[in-house]
Amino acid sequence: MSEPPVIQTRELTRYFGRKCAVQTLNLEVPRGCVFAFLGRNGSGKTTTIRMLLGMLAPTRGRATVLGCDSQALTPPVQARIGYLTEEHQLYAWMSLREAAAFQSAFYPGWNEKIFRGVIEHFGPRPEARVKDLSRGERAGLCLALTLAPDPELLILDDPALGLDPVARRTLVESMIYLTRRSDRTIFFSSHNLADVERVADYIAVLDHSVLRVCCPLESFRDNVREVRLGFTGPPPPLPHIPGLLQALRLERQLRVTCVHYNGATEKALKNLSPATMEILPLGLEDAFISYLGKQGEKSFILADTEVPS
Amino acid sequence: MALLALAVLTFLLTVSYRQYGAELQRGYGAVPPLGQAMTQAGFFCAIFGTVLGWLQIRAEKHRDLWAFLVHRPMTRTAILVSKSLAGLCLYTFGAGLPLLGFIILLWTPGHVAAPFEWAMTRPLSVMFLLGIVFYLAGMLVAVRQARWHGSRGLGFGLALVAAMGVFVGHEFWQTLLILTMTGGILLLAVWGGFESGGNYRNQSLPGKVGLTLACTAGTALLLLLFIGLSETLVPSSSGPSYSEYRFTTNGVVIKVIHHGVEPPKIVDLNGKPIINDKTGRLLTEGDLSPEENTPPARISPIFSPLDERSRPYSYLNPYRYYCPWQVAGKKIWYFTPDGSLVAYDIVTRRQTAILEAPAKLHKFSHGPGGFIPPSHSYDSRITAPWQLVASTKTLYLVDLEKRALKPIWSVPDDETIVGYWGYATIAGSLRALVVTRTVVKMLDLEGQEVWSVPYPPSFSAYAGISCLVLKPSGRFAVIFYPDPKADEGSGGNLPSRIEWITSGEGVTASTDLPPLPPAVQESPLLSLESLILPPALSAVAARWKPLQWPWNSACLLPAGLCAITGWWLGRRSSFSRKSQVGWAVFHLLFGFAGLLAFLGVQEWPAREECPGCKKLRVVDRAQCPHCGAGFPPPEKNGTEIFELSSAN
Repeated sequence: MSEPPVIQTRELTRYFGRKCAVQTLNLEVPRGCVFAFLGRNGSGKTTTIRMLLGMLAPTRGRATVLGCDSQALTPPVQARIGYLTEEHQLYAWMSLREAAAFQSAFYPGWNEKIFRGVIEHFGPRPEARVKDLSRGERAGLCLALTLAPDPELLILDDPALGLDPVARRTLVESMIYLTRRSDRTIFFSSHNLADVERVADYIAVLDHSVLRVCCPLESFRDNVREVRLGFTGPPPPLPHIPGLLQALRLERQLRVTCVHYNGATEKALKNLSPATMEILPLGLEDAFISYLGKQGEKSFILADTEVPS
Repeated sequence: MALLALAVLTFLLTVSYRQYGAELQRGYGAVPPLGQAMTQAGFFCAIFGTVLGWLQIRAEKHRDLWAFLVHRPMTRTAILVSKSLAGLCLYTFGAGLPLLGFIILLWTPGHVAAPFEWAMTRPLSVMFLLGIVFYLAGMLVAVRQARWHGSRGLGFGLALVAAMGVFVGHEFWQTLLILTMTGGILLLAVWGGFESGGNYRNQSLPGKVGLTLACTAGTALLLLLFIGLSETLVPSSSGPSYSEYRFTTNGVVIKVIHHGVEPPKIVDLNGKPIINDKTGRLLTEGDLSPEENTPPARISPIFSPLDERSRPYSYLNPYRYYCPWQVAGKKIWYFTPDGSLVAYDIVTRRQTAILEAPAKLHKFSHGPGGFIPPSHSYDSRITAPWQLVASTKTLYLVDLEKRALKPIWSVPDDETIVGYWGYATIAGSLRALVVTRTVVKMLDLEGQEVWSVPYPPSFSAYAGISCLVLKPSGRFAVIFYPDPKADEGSGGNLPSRIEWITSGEGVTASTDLPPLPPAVQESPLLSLESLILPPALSAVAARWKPLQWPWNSACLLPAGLCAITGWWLGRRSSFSRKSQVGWAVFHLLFGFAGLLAFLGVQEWPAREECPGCKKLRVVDRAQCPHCGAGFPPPEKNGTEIFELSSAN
């Protein structure tokens, strides 16, 4: 990467009381990409985003956004950042027209065409008040207000929350459209992995406040594999496997999900003398669930599961 | 909400005006309509301001709506200024318009049966400004990220202090100063809180100072409330100790010594207990007549030019601006600042008559001519001399029916009348007591001298006079009291002077009454009060409630303990040296109140064990303060996938 990253964090940490919400986060988001920021509920995604935008002060460490300290974002830098919040909150008493007029007054680069284009997808009436909009319509309005200033960096906190499939598809298409320009970057968090799979170039995964993954999407999928071992009888005990995520024992089968599948892993599994051995790639959702699920956690109830200590 | 406020305040002021009208019709005389209106306006502006300020911030209490507000290309200061301007416009609409309308009503002839001075609008304008202080307090309460049962409401304390200051301040400029200071502190606190999203830690220093001072005012008020409640709940085994002079009806001076709740002792000027001639036992308060049991009525001559500033009332007191003289039939007579007497009709509420002295006094200047009001007294036993009125040179008999003045006595060219009052003799006839800079005279209504005594040499040092009508008839006593400021300047050593006079003989005796010791309050809760009060507040409170040793210095010990506690907590949380010293000074000044505020505003960082030295270290410092070790990276579990250049 020759250009500096649009977002960079160094040892970024945040405590709430004694609970560590974000622990020593070192992250770089390259310019011109779609960067998905994933994690389970309570893993620290929204906290991180709020620190990046100066809404929350870090306990330790620092972050820069578009080259500016996140705790001292200047108005010109803020004009280049679009931020869509999780719950799509707006002033309930405003009408669509008033909300647009309010927001456009602050952004010289306001693009009315983009605003109308997004709004028409979601269909609310211009004179409708925010409090009378459905959740999807409100989300659409928030998205339109965020995109219309034509920002260089989009930070979206679970933008598809509460959207129906059609609205979600519209959102995804908007994101794809935006990133046609190479100087645009999207940093978003989401629980909808199908959408992430469609648009993301990179992903980062927070696991209990710690960053465990930061790589291209393809690398994540390639690194998380399921190996199915077939046996003629009950499967033998599983030895220590580096990078083991889950192991599911069935009557005559052992399904092992692991990271960094390599020669050593293959050799360890072949030593079990399976009758059959099949390596399967996982979709993003399966890989994600396997990755963030607790080791040994049963995804569904079948035969007993044994996990080596 | 502003419309509702406009309606409510207009209603309240209308009620107040109607009440004034009703009392006027009942013949209650010169009842200024400002008094009740001021009280109503004060409460209303405080409540409206608080609610408005609170709502303005709480409207964005949802963190995502707050983010929508502040994430835009303008500084948070600009956003706050915009919000505040909008809020103040609403406040001015809701509170200012009705008050302005009320003032216009008072100013317009035919609505109030009294002269109008623009200075009368000061109390209402102060209430309006006080509402702005409460507005800022409301914003501060809403903006802070704190629990309600914790320190969130503490910032409101400073607004309450401002309210108390408004009523304590005697002059308008003093109140403006108090409002400016408290408003300025609250503004800093609000600004700092808005900038940091309600957190203390990452505020700028001015914001932190403002917030800390505001919260300290709140904790100090809580402590005072605690002390006050304790005093009411715990019966006091002793009350104040003080002495006072009293006079018998035949002019004997006695000293009454009060000591707590014990029965007072009555002694003579040599300290010897007095025996009741009738019972043979020690004289008690019960043996004295009601007249003797009450200190003599004191009047004060006027020494300065006749304008509203020379009147002894606080600027909040309507009688500072209204100088009513008497109610005659359906007319109320007032003194005006330019030395005239004007009459207002109770029914039409318009000026119907004016009585001017031969040469008028110009406003704010000395000189002969205009009428001066009778000397003021707070004692209802003194009756106003309705038939008498004086200029600085001449005493007149007044006939209001004929609008006629009859001069009955004048001073030489080099003399000035500074005060006059009326006294009824035992036989029931009216006498005029006239005071100049050199002499005190009693005259009959023909202007004939009944008696005359010289004024004490240091005229300006003796600003108060009592005149006692003694038994048998023809005997009087005049007491000259030292001016409080002059007395303070001489260390409280100025004696009161008493002269006994007999008609036809002049002064028959005189003596100087030694100054009495100041009152001392002794209470079992005194120790608690003196320990808990902040040293800075104790120093101020000593002016009104002086304490004896050791209680006047007792607050220093707990202040020291608070400073030590604060130092220990700061050290535990790795405060910088500068911060430690600042807080130590703060605790020494503000004691318990300061420590509570300190605990309320601080956001204490968590502490974890350092992997290097195994000691507890705060998590908000990159290096351990003990061994300098940094924080280790998160423990790897073998499942990490990093393929970007600077990841962990």
